[in-house]
This record gives sequence, structure tokens and C-alpha cells, in this order.
Amino acid sequence: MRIVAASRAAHACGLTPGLTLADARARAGDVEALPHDPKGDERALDLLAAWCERFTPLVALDAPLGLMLDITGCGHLFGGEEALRDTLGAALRRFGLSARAAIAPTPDLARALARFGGGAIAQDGAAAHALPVAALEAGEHTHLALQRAGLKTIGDLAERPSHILTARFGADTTRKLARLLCCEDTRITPRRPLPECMVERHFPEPFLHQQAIEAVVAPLMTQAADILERRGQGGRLFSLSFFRSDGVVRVVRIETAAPLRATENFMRLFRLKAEKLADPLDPGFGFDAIRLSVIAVETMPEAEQRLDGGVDAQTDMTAAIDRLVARLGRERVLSFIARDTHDPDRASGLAPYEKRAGAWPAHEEGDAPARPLRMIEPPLPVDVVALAPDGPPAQFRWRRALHIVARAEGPERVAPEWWRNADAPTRDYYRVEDAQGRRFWLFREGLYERDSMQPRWMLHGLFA
Amino acid sequence: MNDFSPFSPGRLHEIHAAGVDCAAAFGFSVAAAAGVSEKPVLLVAPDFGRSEAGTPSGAGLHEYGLDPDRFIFAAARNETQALQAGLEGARCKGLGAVVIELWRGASGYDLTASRRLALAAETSGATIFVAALDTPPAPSAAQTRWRVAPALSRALAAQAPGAPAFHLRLERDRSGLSGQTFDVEWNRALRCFISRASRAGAAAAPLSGFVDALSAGRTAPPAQSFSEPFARTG
Repeated sequence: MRIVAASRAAHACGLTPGLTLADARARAGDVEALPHDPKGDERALDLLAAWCERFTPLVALDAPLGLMLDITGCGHLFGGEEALRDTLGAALRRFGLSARAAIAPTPDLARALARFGGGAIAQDGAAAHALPVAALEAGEHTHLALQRAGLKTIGDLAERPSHILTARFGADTTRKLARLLCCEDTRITPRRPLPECMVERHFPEPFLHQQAIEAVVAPLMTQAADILERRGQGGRLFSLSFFRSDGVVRVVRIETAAPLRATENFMRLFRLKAEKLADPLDPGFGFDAIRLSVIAVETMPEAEQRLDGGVDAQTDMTAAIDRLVARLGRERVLSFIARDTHDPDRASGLAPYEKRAGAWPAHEEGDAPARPLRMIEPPLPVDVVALAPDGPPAQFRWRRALHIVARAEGPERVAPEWWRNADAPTRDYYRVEDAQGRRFWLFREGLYERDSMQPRWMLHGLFA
Repeated sequence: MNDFSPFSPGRLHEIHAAGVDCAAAFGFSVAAAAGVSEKPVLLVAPDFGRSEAGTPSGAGLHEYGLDPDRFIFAAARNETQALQAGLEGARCKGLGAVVIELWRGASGYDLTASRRLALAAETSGATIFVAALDTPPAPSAAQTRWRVAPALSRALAAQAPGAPAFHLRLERDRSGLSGQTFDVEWNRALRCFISRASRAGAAAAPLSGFVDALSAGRTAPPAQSFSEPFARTG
């Protein structure tokens, strides 16, 4: 067992990462050791990243131990870049974390300054000159080779022609150097995509009143609606983030069936969602910011005002669907879809609701429906007695009740789609009616004398 | 709107059936629900019903003669959610009808719940059908209460099952006329229920001379036709 990470006090005792636990115990008998939990670290870092989203929506994980915030244009909201850094640092210290922060024009320089420069605010690449070559993070070998060549700092490297470096250490090192010197810029990949539209409210004092949450959310939505209206858009996916002062971030996502801009409808969905939360929106020590992001938008034409001021039936219906989605979840409000296939398992399916015009195949002639109203998925095995091995069923048992077959039609032979599943056996479907008039859809899986397996009977659906 | 349809719009109608006859109750309810208007129809079924009797199928609805694109299916987790979702639907003016499936002595569906549904339906104009399976009838605010069982169909060639046939009993009707029974079959081309007695009598010209009183279409039958075309068997 070896030490992976050590506290400041441990470092002071000379316990450094890489040391074996036995050695550490020998040096300091009362050392407290906890098993390394990389998953837990990852989770903690992710939570911290969510918390940092109060400063900027562009937060990226810089695993394993860093966070990268793109604060372009955000500084003035917190009283300048330095104030922002200090606020962030103070908050992290309150959480009991030791952190170093640096601000620089490129992500690479910011990281190097945080790790090797003691945390500074750099305006340009000149700040990189004083850093040691280790700031290149190009690997132990490269660092050693550079040091042996007498190149101690990034400044030393910057003076050399780059083709020599490239020839000796590869193009990666040169690129890295260019980024440190701010000659080349890169973008960070944020944890979440940048929302289409974002409004937020920061509170100077933590906000404690659970009842008043709606009074904050409603004006936020009105504000967002104004922005969306100017663009001729409506939101399809909203996300409300509640930043608690103890670092917890609660996110409530609201999805709608049609572009939405009306504050009233939005608040109704929000109430439904909020009362359904397993863990209620508890302000705890107070929220210090609430943010509404509109993640997905769609064009939404200007609503036509009806002369009588009434609500259009269509609008009413989309609102009802949104409420259903908020209650049951998107995957439970469904519409029927048609697929162009003969495979009864796939011919028709269900998908999250939207207005559709499915290409349903034309009926075959005749009075009786050929497909059951209710499909049993997956098909249920049933005990069937047939008079001939390849004939229709004479009687069968389903849910312990015996059904004597009075009428039967079939077989309708459905071969499996060999390009999907070559091993699936052929199915012979029968429409069957029992003596009471109940109508069933049964199939026999596999063929007699051809397939080695014993054919079995399954119930696949119920007709009206 | 058709005054003489047995399903007055904007009201609550109960359709009772045994659990094994779930598909018949479902077939009867969707046909009735699709018939009261041209607007979309919301189907609500709890997970229990889906595991017991299968999931409603688009291809099946289409083969039954209805347009699957008109239906919205809300898959509720349990009975409480099904009633909640049904109530949301009942409050919506954009829906023509709501079909709510309830199973096994639905305890959440009591007088209060049915009143709530009936009130919502009256305000919005949507017609509510509660398909109650294996549920003993209890006092409710429903306009009508039907008992549905499948009936042996008229066989097609080679003893093939024919058009869906139902045995209906109108157990209760607030506007009078209860206790009748009807033997009907569903005609998917005309989208209406046809009395089997009249159908049998007019085999040569099946369309002339009969009136579909249980019309699921929008044609208004003559005033006296409601009870006439059905053979009173009970």
C-alpha cells in the first residue's frame, strides 16, 4: 500500500505521495490513512464543478484535480477578475478545500500558473517565462532532458528557435509551449453545452424562504420569455439550477411538448415537478443564486390573439400534454408509430408523443381485424393442444383458464428478418376465438420436421 | 353533436367487464371514444393492465378501423397516476375523449374521484370512459354504466373468426332506459356498431334498412331509433 495523496500536515512530516504506508507509519506513528477512492474524488470534483457554474456556464473538468472555468466577460459581474478569484478561493476554503487559482488568456497557461506559478493573474504569455520547464507537463524524460541542456525555465525555451525543439522533443512539446506563451489558443469543453438563453438572480444574502421560490422563478421566466420572444423562439427544455450556499446545486429540468414562452404555463409545470421531487427543494442554509437556462429552443410563431380572449383548443392540448409529461415523464406519454416491416414485434411501436402522420399499411379485405388491439410483449408461452402437429390449436390454457377454440384462422406465416436475427425461428400466427367469443392471437414458433427444436406456442395479443 | 348516441359528450361513462374480457372492454371503449368527436383521444392504462392484457397497439387500432395517429397513450405506473393523468386529460378542451383503464377493485376510483372526472368533463366537453375491469360497481357520478362481454362472432369462410362481436348490457343510465341488452358487432369500415339482429335480417343488402344507433360515426340517426334496431334479448 502506498500513499496516493497526503495532507499539508503530512507533507510537513515528510510523508509524500509514493511512499509506502509502512514507511509512513514508521515516520509518524499516529498517521491516519483512508483508502484511495478515485470514484469518490471524481464525484466530488463533479459536484464542485456544478457549484462553480454559478460563476460561468462554461465549466470544464480538468481531471484528476482541476477545474477550468471560462470567465470571459463574467468578471465584472463579481467586481473584477481578481475579486472573482478571491470569492471563489474563499468559498472553497470554507468547504475545507485547499485550492490554487490562476487567471490567464489560455487554459494551458492558467493551469501552469496555478500549479507552478503560485496562482497569479496573467495578461499575456510573458507571465509564462518565469515558470519551470515542468510546467510543460511533457513527461519526466523531456523535463530531465531539457534541464540537462541547461534550459530551466519556459523563458529559456521561448528564446530558442522552435524547429530545434520540435526536432528534439516532438511537435507536441512545441505546441504546448505555444499555448503556454499564448501564441495559440484552445477552447475548453464545458460539462454542459452552453444554453441558448440564460437568466439568473444572485442574492446578496442567502435566500431562505421556500414559499418565495416561485416569486423568484416567475420573474426569471418572464425575463427569459422576453429574450425568446425577441428571437421568435420558444423553449422546449428548461433547466432551473438552485445554488445553495453550502455548495449543493439542485437542478430541476422541465421538458415541454411544444415551444413554450408563457410564464403561467411554465410555473404550472414547475409546481408539478417541484412537488414530485423525492427530495424537496430545501433552501437549507439558503440559496445564493437561482438560474434559469433554456437549453433547447424551437422557432415559435407569434401567438394569434383570439378576439374572445379564449384559449385555443390546440394550445390547451399542448399544455395538457406538458402536464402529463411533468407527471409521468417523457417516456410515458406516447404516440403510436408505424414501421415498414412485416415483423409483428416491430411493425408498430410507441414513441414519446409528438404529432404524427404514420404510414399505416392499407387494410386487407374482410370484416375482421388482422392485428390485435393489445399486444403482449414479450409473448407469453401457453399450453396448447392441437389436433394435428401443424394444425390450428384446439384448446389452450392461459392464466390457468382453459379456452376451447371455436373458430380459428391461419396460419399466417411470418419469417424472421434474417438480416436482424438469423437464428429467430419462423412463426405461424393463428387468429383464434374461444367458445365465449374471446379472440386471441397465438403463434407456433418453429416448424415441425425442419427445426430441431420442439415448436412452442405463444400468446402474442388480444383482439377485441 | 348526436343527441341520440348512447354516449352523451362531456359526460362520464363507465364500462365494466371481467378481467379476462379486457380486450373487449378496451375495443368497445376506444370505438366509443373515437366516435364522440373528431378530436384526439387520450388512452390511460396502468402498468398492471399492460402486463395483464398487453399494450395497446397502433397496428391493432389501425386494423380495427381507427386512426392510430389520433390517440395519445399515457402509461401510468399505478392506479393513482392513471386517475391523475385521466383528470388532466378530462380538463383539456383539445381532447375529444379520454379512456381510463382501471383494474381489480380500483380503490382510488370512488364517488369523489368520479365526480371530479365528471365535473372536469362537463367543463371541458371531453367525454370520459372509465373501463373498470374486475371491479364491482360502486356509486359513481357516471352518466351511463355498461357491462361488456365478447360474443361469438359470425364465422367467416372456413370457420375463421369474424368481425368483433359484443354482448352489451346498459346497467344504468341517468336519463332513463336502463337494463337493456344489445348484441352488436363492430363494423370497421363504417366505424359503427351494428345490431346483429338487423344485420342477420338484411344479409343481402347489409347497409340498407338498419340504423346504427350505437353509431360511433357522426351521423345523427332519427329520434326513435335508439332502442329500435336492437333485438332485446334480455
